[in-house]
Amino acid sequence: MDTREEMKERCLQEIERQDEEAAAAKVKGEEASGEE
Amino acid sequence: MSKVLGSAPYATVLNQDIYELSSTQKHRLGTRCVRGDRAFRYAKAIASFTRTSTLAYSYYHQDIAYAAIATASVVGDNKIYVTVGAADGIANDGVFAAHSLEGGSLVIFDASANENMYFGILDNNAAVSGGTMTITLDGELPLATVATTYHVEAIGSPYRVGVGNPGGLRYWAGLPMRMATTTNPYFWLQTWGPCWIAPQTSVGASANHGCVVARHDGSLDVQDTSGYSDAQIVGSVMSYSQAGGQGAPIIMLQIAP
Repeated sequence: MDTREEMKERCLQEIERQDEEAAAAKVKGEEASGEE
Repeated sequence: MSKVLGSAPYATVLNQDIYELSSTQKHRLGTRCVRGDRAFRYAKAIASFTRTSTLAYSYYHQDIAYAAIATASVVGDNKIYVTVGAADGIANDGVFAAHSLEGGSLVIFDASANENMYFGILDNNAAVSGGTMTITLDGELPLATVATTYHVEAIGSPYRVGVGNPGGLRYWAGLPMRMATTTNPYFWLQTWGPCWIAPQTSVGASANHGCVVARHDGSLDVQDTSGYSDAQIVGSVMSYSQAGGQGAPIIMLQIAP
């Protein structure tokens, strides 16, 4: 079982991962639509 | 339907419980509910959530930018008529769906005496660029005339929200009580009172680190962290650890009481 600190760290990592994923999807979408 | 206890000496009956999602709208957006120290607003998810550990942001930018009054209104009226701009609306295309401004706010700039007026928005009809939109106010106009020389700036409800990274350019509206989706978009946001929101390592970690701001991703940080010194202040740490370091920490959220 995670300690409290591990749980919070995991939470922040997941937030960061989701942000990167959203940013990558946005770039991909812009490439597909021909935007710069 | 549920009863909310602890908000007042009497029970508040809701059409949708604070911890319930709904596919249909059961209250006006922004409807306020209080339970003890905690306050909630009825909200709508514009995109599906991926977490409830961070704050949700107001999804849209400003809806109406300095629009001219198309037809004058007079004292006692509760409607104004504005000319829709080509870049107004949620998609910058001059298109407004009916009721899309429900729960919003506006300012009317008085061109004659600088007696500006501030109202909440009850409703609007559908309109497109160059057309006239009727906006129903939550009060009656106090001045003799709102003339065609007057202008209006307006936002729709800030409780149309998303979760994620709005790039530091949106208002943080509150903490989602459930993982809302585009299929079940109606839910309650906590806007005031004790809660937990993902804290960066400095939050409540040492002396005088109790004032928290929202980062670009809706997690919390202390105000003096690089890049966030002017970020939106959203509350205070309520619980340090016994050793004086970071506890949970439970936060006294202070966005809308």
